[in-house]
Amino acid sequence: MLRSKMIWLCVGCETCTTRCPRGIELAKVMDALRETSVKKKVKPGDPSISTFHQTFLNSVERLGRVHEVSMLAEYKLRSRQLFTDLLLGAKMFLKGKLALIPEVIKGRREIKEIFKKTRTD
Amino acid sequence: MARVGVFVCWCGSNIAKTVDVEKVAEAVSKMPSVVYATHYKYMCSEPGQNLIKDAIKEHRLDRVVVASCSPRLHEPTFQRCISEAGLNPYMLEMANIREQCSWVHDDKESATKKAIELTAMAVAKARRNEPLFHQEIPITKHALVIGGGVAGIQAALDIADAGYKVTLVERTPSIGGRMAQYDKTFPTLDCAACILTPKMVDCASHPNIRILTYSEVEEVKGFVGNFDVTIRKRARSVDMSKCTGCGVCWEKCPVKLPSEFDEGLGQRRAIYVPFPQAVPNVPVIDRQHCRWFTEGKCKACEKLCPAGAIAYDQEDELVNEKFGAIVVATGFNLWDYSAYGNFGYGKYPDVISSLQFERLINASGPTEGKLVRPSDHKVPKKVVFVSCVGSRDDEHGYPYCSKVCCMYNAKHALLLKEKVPDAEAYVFYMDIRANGKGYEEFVRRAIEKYGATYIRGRVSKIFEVGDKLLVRGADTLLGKPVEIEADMVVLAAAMEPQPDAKDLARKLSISTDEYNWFSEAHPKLRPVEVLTSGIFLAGACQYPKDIPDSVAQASGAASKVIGLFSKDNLISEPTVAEVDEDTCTGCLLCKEVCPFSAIESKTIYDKNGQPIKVVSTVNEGLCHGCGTCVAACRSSSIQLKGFKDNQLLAEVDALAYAE
Amino acid sequence: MKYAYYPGCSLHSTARDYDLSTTAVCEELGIELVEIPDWNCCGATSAHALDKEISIALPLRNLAIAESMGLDVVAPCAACFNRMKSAHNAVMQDAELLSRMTARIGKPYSGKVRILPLLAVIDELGADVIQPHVKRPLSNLKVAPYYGCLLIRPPETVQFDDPEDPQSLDRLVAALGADTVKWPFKNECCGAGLSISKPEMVVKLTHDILSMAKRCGANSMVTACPLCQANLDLRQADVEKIYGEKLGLPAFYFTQLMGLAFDIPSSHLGLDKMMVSPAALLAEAGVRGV
Repeated sequence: MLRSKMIWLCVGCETCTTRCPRGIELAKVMDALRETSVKKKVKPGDPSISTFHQTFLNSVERLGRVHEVSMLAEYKLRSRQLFTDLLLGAKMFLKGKLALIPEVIKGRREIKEIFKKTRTD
Repeated sequence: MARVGVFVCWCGSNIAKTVDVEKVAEAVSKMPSVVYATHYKYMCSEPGQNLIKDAIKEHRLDRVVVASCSPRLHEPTFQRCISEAGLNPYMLEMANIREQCSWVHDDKESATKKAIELTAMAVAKARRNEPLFHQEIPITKHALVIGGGVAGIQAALDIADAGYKVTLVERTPSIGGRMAQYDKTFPTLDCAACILTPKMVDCASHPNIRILTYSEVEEVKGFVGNFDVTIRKRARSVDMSKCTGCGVCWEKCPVKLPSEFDEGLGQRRAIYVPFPQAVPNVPVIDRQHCRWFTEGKCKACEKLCPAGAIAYDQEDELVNEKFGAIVVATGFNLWDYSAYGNFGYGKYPDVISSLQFERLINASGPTEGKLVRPSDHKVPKKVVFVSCVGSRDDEHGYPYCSKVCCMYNAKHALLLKEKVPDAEAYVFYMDIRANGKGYEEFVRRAIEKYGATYIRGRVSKIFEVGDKLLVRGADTLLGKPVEIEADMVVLAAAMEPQPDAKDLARKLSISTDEYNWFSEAHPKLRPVEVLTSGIFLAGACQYPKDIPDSVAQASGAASKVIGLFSKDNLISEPTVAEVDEDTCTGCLLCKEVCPFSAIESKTIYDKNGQPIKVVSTVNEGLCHGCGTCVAACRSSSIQLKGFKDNQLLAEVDALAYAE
Repeated sequence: MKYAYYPGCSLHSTARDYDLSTTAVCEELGIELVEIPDWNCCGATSAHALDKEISIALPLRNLAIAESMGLDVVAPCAACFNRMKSAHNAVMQDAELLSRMTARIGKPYSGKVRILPLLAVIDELGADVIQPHVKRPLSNLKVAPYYGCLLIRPPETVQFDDPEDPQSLDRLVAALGADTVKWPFKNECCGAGLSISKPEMVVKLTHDILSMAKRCGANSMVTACPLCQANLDLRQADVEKIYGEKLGLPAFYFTQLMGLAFDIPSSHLGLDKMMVSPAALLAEAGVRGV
């Protein structure tokens, strides 16, 4: 189960929880399985997805907000998908949808603290 | 001054092997009020009983203690014995020195000591015994059956055949109930109407059965043997004595509205009989929709009726009648599946309930038995049957299983294939519950002979695309999602109690469970009775049930009624509760806690008719002597005859102060 | 009406048009939005996918700041709204968790603020308040309202609209004078955040949604979530190419539709940022020449 692809493919759309006749919060179960698999250092069933999440959180930890450009760049390097969506990215940039300069919040240290506390618990 | 006689039994060696019986008799003879004590080998035998009777006469005993076996075995024996000697049977006490002493201990010395203590306790109680007398409660041998479905019909027929009068009350215009709505019944595939209508006609022609349709029970007072019931006979607006059932009126009535009998798929008129085989075959006018009653126009039926039977000025009639027993057979309702948002909130016309499917395939239904889609009247080629819609669903419906759906899904799949041989039937199921006689074979037949495809999984979403219905579900055996493009979807909606079940329960003073099914007295051992004496249950009103079980339960309820009516009077047990009206404060807590609704309030008046106080009073016919009221009473004003506080405390004292 | 405004990370970059149109429309309606000072990322999907406590701590910090402002929180992004509401519910039901989390974020929180999606605020106003502002009814627009997931599920958490047949966008679109299309996929998932890491899956899901909308007669989509809009808009070209279908469905934010109806200039609505250009549709429909 922890090695399966399924727990990574789940996007948390919560349709399952809404319809379950036994009231089981399946999306939360998926979250728990994912968190457990990471803690136990199980090789993720879909590495590109787990990498994405990790990269996203790295950006948050560094800046307090997600800087999409640098996050996407880091993701593409890590997942070795260097050339996908390049055209789309260019289009988005031209339309002003991609901010080159990251927004850094003043409370960056608080965010770092939040991440640090979780790691040491 | 009490004169107690104690008789200690050897019971052969059953008691004597472990208990020194002679020593017990000797020890007891020294106790206060004991004027005679003896022992004998077999107290229950004829010489033993004669011994007791002679001793009563010789020693002028006024109460007797027998130290022997369990009272459950021989209490009636010894009660009869002492009453033959002229004593009141309740002046007997028994000490169980066999099952509760000699049979469970090994050591003779301590067993004997215990036997002495047990007997001493019995003596202490017996000294405070009082004579008690049975009451005779007359029984009105007329049964009321509420609900004219197959269960009510069966119960009525059985009671009537035993020679007793029955009044069958049904609130719709005809008897027949749910079974009349079905097409064919599993597992025999008998036509439901064909096997039901003979019973309906039997009811109508039975000399002992009076059928009141379009009627409802308004009020119930009284108790077992003596129920005082008011029934409202709603105004049909048709004179039953004149109407011939020719049908001209309902053919010509201009008002059309959705038919309840056809579950909204067909139409009826404002003057109507619910279905062609209605019993009685006399229409009613739905005054809320009739043009004469709402607008003052039309009157076509009156003009056209050849028998002059229309009677617009008819009024509701209240009938008051006494009954000795009531059978509740009010049936079930189908859960409103439009609560399921992922199935379309009831908006898709081709997503229908199982009952609606029955009406569509039935020859007397809205399409005369042609299976067509409600939306465009095309014949469906792919039909999906969904199990457990609202059943086994804690979150959106009921947690229980509705019992019959697995069987009728198989039946529907089979009947679909019979009607439309090139159609495909898909059944989504979680489990297949086919646990009756011939049931498993029936399901197998639907699958193997008729080719129904069974998919194990739930349906996640049903939606319309063009004129098709897409059914998305899971096939858990293959581990794959499934999508079926269907023409029609039939939902096995849960069975639920009638919406006014709780109201009826209140009128009858019977209990309901958390879903409003009527509560039986004991789920295993007393399935047709309720805790209130004289009221019995039959059919699905107690819990989801198929026809064989409903009929069986109805006959069971009928047999209880017949047993009740076979006596002229009810002999009530005298060991019931009794109120000391002097000390009773009228708090009525006892009334609240009584499980048998046997206690009522009573006002005491002085000789000028002015109320002095309110006290509680016990209906001895209903009281079961459970003692709950005694425990609740704050002033010890209510006591159990034969088991009063002072008697029981005397036993405790005897034990506490024994050497 | 004054709210603590939580734009969320995407409204400052890929969903800038949502931010622009939100600001414009709220100004027109007299809704004052005070941006939460120094707000941080709510963690979106990635936080709760990997670490439960971070997924609570991150949004909680923003809620704590809003509480100190004494204002209810409004979030245009469905995911941000869902995460904040979930975090709030989690700490309100577990006192031990609350004390641990408030220690982690170094701020107190007592749960007094309401947390609302922007659509709820607009829906609460009602047609009577919206319609007087409509200067150019959006007739000839056949809009398929697309609600996505996190705005309406799970119902116990979000307590907004209906999870199977929501109507808030439908009501709004009707109030703006446009036709809504009846279609069965208004609450189907678009694949959300897997757009980057599993684009083929998003392309499939998005295709199903867009082609169903078109099949049911829509000529445009309206959304209430930056990720939904991104998938429907940015990936539409891929969908057309891979499935060989011509779709041409501009995907608006509901605030953009409101702005169009209120006759707010296009530059304030970010219409030029849409990858699937709405120009032709709007001109044809007589709404405006962009």
